[in-house]
Amino acid sequence: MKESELAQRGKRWKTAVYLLLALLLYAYGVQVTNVNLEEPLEPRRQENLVGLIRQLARPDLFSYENETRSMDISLRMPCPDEPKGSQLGSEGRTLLLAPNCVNTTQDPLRLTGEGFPANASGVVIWHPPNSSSTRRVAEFRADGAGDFSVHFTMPDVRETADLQRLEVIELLDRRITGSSDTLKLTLDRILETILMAFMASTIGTILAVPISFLAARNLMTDVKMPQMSLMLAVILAPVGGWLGGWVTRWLLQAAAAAGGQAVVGLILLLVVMALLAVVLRLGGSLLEDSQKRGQQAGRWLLAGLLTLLGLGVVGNLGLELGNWLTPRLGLFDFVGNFIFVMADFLLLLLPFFVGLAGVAAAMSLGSGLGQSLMQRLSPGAARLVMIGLTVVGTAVFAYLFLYAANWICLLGVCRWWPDAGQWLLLVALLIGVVGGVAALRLQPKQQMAVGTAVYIFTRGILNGLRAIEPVLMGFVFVVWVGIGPLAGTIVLIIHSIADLGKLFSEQVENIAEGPLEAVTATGANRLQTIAYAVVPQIVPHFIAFAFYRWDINVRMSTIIGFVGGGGIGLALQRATNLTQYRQASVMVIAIALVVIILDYVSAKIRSRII
Amino acid sequence: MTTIPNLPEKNNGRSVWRTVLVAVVLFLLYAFTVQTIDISLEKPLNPERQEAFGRVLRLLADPEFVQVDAVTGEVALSEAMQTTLGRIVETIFMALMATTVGTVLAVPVSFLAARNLMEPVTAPLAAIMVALAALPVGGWLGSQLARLLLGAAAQVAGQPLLGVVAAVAVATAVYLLLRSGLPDAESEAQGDNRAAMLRLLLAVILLVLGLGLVAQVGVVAGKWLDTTLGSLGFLGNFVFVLSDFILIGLPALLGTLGAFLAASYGSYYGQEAVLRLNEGSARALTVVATLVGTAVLVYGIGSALNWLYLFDNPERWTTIPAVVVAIGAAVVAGFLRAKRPFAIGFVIYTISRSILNALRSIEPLIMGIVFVVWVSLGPFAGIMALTLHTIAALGKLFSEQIEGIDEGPIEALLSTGASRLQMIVYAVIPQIIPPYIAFTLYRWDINVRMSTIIGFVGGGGIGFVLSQNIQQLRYRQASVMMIAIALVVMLLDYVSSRIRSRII
Repeated sequence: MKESELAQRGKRWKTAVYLLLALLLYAYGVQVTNVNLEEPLEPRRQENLVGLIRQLARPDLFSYENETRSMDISLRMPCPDEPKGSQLGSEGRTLLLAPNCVNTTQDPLRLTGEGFPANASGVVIWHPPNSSSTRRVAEFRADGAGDFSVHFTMPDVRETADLQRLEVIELLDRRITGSSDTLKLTLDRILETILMAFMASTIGTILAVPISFLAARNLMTDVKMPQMSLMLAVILAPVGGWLGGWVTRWLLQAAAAAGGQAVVGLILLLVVMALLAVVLRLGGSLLEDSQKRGQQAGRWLLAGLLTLLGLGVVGNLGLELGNWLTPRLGLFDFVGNFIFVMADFLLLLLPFFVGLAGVAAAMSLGSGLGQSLMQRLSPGAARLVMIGLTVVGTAVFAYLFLYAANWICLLGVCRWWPDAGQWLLLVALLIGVVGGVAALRLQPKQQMAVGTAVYIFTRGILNGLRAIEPVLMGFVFVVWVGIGPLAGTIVLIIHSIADLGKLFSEQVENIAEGPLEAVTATGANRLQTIAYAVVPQIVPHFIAFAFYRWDINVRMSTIIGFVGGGGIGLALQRATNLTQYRQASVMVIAIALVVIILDYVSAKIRSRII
Repeated sequence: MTTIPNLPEKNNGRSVWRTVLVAVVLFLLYAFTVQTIDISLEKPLNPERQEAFGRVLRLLADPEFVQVDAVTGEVALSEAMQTTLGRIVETIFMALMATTVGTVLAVPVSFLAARNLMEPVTAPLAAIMVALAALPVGGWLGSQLARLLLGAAAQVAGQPLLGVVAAVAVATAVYLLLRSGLPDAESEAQGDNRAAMLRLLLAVILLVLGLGLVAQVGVVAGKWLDTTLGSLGFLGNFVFVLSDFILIGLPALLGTLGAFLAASYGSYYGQEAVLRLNEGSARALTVVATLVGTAVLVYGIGSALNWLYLFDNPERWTTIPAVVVAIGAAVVAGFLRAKRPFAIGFVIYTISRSILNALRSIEPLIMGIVFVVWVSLGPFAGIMALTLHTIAALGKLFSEQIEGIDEGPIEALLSTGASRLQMIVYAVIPQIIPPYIAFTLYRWDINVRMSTIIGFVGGGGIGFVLSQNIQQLRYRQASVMMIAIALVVMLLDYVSSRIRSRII
């Protein structure tokens, strides 16, 4: 009984302390964020707000044609000895300008009108002598009885001997003649915005899929290999990458030489395809296990080289075709442009992707080599080889990292150590030796949790990228590709990859284990497991997430323009900077409509898929 | 070998055609997209641009954390670092304030936007119309009362000491009044209940008076504390700002309360009257109520439009349509069955959902522009934009949670004869608290992210200084801020996901 009372009392104290802390927190927050009622309640500020809201309530949707009536009245500068007023009448309307002259630019003038239609409005325009430009000096609006009276001054007026002309323009009628320029611009930009999001979601989703496998804990923790395999993989990876890139570049050059002429290129393409068919057909399927491993590998290599050559020719032909099509397709010229851009991308990215493939091939080769080495060598020799490989492998890794760090000048390395570039190799070797010493304690057969390391690394990068808003990233890419939708698209792609990579990998982690075990039990390898047990489970979720991301990308692309990333944000920011709130209103309405509609559509699609 | 049974030939052909068509449409779509968003390799591969990009990357890789004095060689935190620390705190507090206020305001909104709660709310036309007519009267009375009481409080609290004494006296009176009994729905005796209602009314009036006194004293005390407490001066400022808010917000709050009370009493008595009267007189009542209610509604909408658009002939938008529409509606109402229930709840649900959807679709960054015009550059504008967006987003998420609750407890309570309010308190709220907390934390995450960029339009926080630094090409300083943002966002993400997994 007593204990429970004590516990109750303790609880009460705890609550009191929490409340006090919350009070302090919010009190400090109010101070830091400068919350007060003085500014919002200041009459001038409230007036600003009301003005802004009234302008936002009148979106600039239509263009008008004004029907007007004008009357001329004259003004003197300087004044004659006895200033008088001038009076003018026509069609029942009477205008009186008093005085009808000024001596200085500050002298007040008063224009009164009678007999106008009720609520008539208009402007007073000054036509400076010897100048074709005009200037608006006053606006007027008649009351219910058709009378008005305005006071104004004549800034910039200069002395002349002649009379100066003031034109009183009365607005008779306004007719809508069509959509305003703002509306046209908005439609144009909102389309750009949607398509930016569309492109970013497509590419982001495609690239996020492979990354999500690397960031899925349940798939990666099983990936283990002995130290020797790991180090051999690390050593061979750059070699494979370099080889792949180099061979591709060489083949692309050959293809470019031939593909310059469309006819030659076409013939070459046919020849390559025929050869490829021969290689693939010759001696059974490539996928079946065969006794002649060397021959199989040779055929694989040949087929790969021929495919690369063929792709190179296709790329070059695509450039030609795109250029040829663009001026000829008229309304569909974008198809020509598309072919050209795609071919350009193919030619540029092929060495990169083949290099990547080379890295992967070399790594798997190295890891296999390590396995077989470990089985063949005696324990003592294995340990020796392992330590040697660790030294070299760590050194290679360290060198690559240091080289990159030095190039990017990480943490100002190049400032406080200007000739670091010459010492990279030595430092890398030193690190390698340290690594070798550390490897002394390892057993050659010990399995290293490589998969977990890759998982943590990938997740870390994804989290870091996700933490920075696309608008912030936009700055960097605007520097690179210039102001425009391309910069925004790149940023959205990067953010989509990071975001979807995480969401996708969480989906992969949540899959049912049953099919996985079943497929593994049949002796399937890792790739087959993923293809037959993982992919079928996750496809619906991935599609749903891709649509969800599209939603987000549409929202983001409406504001990425604020930093120059294209889309409607750029136009909106320009309008608000120039305080053209009526134009801004059109854009905000367009954004709201598009977001609401796409939200609804994507929610419908998502609920259908899952 | 197993063979896949062939599909009927015709069907197969059609699906092939469909696939081809989809492929062609997709091809054209992507081709058009590439053209529209100007994807090309020319700009990214331009050597000058690449060089500029490399230069920026190198500067970003070398954040200016510390500054080395050129003369003495002393190492100290750089200016950028100091600004960053100050501003990142401001950013987090912006998110905190916006999340707190937004969540508090989103809860009542979410009840209005929950389909399962609102759809059963029906009332006869007469009840709705009486409520509509009573609404502005109640609002006006409430705000007038508040203003009157605050005026009295201001007079008394001109002397702070007198104010304190009066506040204590009022508090005692309220306590005594409330102790002597609250109105009880179940009590049979009408007279008793009426006396209790009067006591409650008196207690509310005294409470408002007391609040006014406390706030008046608080304004003075806050200013005094601000200057005397030194480093804890922010407490004084808090008291001052809070009192200020009470003084300015009380008339609006009481007005809303009055409007709500008037509407609910109007609806109640309207319904009672219609259900008790015979069809003919009920119909007559409905016609009269419709006439007044519609006139009030149309006049209200018309005056709001007139305020917005400043029409040349205001009466053409206010009085004339009010009269015309009211007569028309009354005629229509005469043909309706008076006791027929109208789905007023569904109308309210639709309106609140639409408003929430529209607000949600506009990014806080864009809202920020409006608020900067109002309250000038600074974190307060950012807080307002974030709060508004939070209300809209959470209002929708919360209401979806309510729609997904278990019906069992609701039915159980309704079968005991509980009122709507009791049903919400005892059946709905216990079910939704955990998801509400989880969504609030989720929103807090989003608000932290948003508050890092709301400064781009002048909304305060770290975004403001960051955009300045970038515009002046001071990328090393900008890098410090970007790293700070990434760290804070990751850290808070982690913390909130921890708390969320604990709660759910």
